[in-house]
Amino acid sequence: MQRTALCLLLIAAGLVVATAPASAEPEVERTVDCVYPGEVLATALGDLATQLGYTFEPGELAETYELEQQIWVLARGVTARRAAELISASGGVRVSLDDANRLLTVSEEPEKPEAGKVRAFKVDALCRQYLDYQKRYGLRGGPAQPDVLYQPTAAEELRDAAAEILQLGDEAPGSAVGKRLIYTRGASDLARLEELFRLMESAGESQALRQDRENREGLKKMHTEFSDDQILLSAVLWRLFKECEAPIYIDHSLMQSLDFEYDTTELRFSADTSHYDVLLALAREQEFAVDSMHGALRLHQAYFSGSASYQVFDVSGLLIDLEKQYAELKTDAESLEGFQGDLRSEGGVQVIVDALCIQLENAGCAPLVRAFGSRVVVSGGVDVIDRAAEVMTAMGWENGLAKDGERK
Amino acid sequence: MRTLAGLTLIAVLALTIQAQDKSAPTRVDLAAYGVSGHEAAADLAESLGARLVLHELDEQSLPASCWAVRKKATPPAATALLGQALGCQSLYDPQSATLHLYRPGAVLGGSKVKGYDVSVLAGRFVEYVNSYGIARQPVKPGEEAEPERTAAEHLAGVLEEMLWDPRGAEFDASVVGDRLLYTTDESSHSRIREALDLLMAEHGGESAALKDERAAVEKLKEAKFSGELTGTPVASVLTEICAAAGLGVVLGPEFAEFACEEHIDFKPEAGSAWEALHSLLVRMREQDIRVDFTVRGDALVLESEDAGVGSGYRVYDISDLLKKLEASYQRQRTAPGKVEGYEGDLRRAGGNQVVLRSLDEQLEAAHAPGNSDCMVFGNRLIVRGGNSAVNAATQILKEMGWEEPGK
Repeated sequence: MQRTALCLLLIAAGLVVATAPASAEPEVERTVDCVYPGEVLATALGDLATQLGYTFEPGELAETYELEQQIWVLARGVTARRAAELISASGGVRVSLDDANRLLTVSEEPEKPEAGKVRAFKVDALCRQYLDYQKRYGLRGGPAQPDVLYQPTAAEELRDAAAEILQLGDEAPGSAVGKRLIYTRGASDLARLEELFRLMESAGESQALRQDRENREGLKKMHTEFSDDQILLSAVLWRLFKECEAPIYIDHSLMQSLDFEYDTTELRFSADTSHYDVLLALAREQEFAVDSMHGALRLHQAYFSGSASYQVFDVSGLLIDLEKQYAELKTDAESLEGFQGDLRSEGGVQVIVDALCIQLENAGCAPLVRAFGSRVVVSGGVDVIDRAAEVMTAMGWENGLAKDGERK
Repeated sequence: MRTLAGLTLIAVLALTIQAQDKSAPTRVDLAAYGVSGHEAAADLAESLGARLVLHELDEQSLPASCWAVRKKATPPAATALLGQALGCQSLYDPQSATLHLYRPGAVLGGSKVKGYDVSVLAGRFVEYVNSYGIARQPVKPGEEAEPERTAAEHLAGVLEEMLWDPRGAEFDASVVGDRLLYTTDESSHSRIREALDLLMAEHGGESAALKDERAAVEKLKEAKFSGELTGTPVASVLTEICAAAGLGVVLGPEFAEFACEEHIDFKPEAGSAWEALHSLLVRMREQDIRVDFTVRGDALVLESEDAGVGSGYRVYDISDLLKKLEASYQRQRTAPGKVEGYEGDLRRAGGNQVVLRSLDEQLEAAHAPGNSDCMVFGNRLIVRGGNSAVNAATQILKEMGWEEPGK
């Protein structure tokens, strides 16, 4: 009896699901293809509007130079929002979608950050970690360091570190209140701050860096021979873009320093050179950086603005090891060539930061490196971060990250 | 069936030969007889089937006269010799079939970071300082104390001097605890490794560059030279002498300018190629042209003395000598409070500086040919210079009481 009732119930449930109105289904976000490598911005926007069934309204930028500029974006099957972000980033404009009125509009890049919400972050654990570091390795202040006037609390130091690492700019700074940091910023900045504070505790790679790793995989599989003596830069880029599985774009910061009509490359590649190697070699030659932003590979020269691609290294183990090493380097006499110091007098974590900066500079890259207690953050794309990890390993640091980039 | 297999084999062989033709040659001739630096570089690139790429250099910044002669050299050796002749860094990348030229001091493509554990050497230095290190003078009021350096930092400084190459790569060490970090190309890493190994070795030893130089000098001594050259450029005379010993010759850019222009009559007495070379160098010295030489890849590299082309060195273990000196200073102690008395010891006399100072003074007095530099790291003494300078240094050290290991 019970079984029959259960069967009837299941059949009824099935009928309900089958006859439910279509509108109750979760709406799948519509995707578009942005195939705009070397395309005029106005044409690209017109095409995007057509794909969406929207009307393109150039507004105040109508018949201006901005709309006649080239953009380099190639992203297939991306959401309309993502497409607008990529075109905006390459064109140096702000593309907006008005779904209610089915309008695609374009305006100049806003100078001020988006209006935000207030949010507080409790940073007790990070403050504790910083204090532990200071007690053991921190440089002595007070009379020994009379020039050091700014002596921030752990929370203030964390606020300053976050502002540097995420390049938050001078607008809307954070406030340190006890062991809380309070920010009034846009949703994306708040998400970046949340991620940074989380990674400062656990160490590991940011989401943008993991995305960057994933984006580059496809390029490593592709091989092509560019054998002419003088190859147009735009021809190489076109090939790289065309065959790139991941979305890719050239940021506006780089668009302005390349001449796609005349610039050539001195590089020549054999058949076994992967597209990834080609891209890195081009980056070295043309002096641009590669990372991932808006989910896409970004070729850029925006070294001092908002990349979210970084790795937090936990160097507490290395500091313990170094403390021991400096103790062993002590001499027992007041000798002219002797050493009476320790890791603290040598600068604590600054020993690691200095070595990292010098060796990365010798390798031709100068990323942002910032320490907070026993955490060292290196900002940049996968190639830079991997080099930084090599330098850290050469110092004796041991990688404790799992494959997903989080701390084991 | 057999016919088919035979035909297939022939086809495969033909394809293999064709493929080999396309690949880079295993040996090339370097033959730049006074041509411009750019022409010499372009010629080598053509021989290698490679493209020439200049980094932060242009045609005008390369020397106007280039002299580099070496037959059947391997591509890396020919590339290195061309760099010597042009006074810049050179790198041949067979993968992309490209010959790169970089300005001196530039970081070459493909540089890698390596961390060297120097804990053993640092430990030995600490032992040395504790035994013989000079006492620190108290800081006078108003003066700042000299910053302290760890043993590893002292070592980094010594390595910089040992491996300094005015026309090579510039590599800054980072000292982290008892590790030294360098980001540089593979050949520079090999030189760092060699230096550390020799500093670690029980009795020190000679660098490969110095051994090469000794071997080349032996070849020159064994070869007969009896040419009579009239109105011949100095560069050609040198090429003849070296050719007699089966050696190539490369002139550095500063010396090449003179050697290509200056024509001389050269009729040395019949003897060895070494004697002929020596007599030519003495003759030039009389004209105030001071030339130093080194050896790279079976070729003599000659350049004006000021350019510092020599990269060979010898590491001496002076720990026994220091013990002897300590004992001898002890023996010279007198009762305290005497006007002519002595109450010091080796530490007060300067530790290893006693040996270093005397060596410098005696080398200068001996007028050893070529550049030489002496430096110390704890109980290791390093003499950087050519074959003659190192021989002279060894002799002076013996006179001080140092004993050749194993003798």
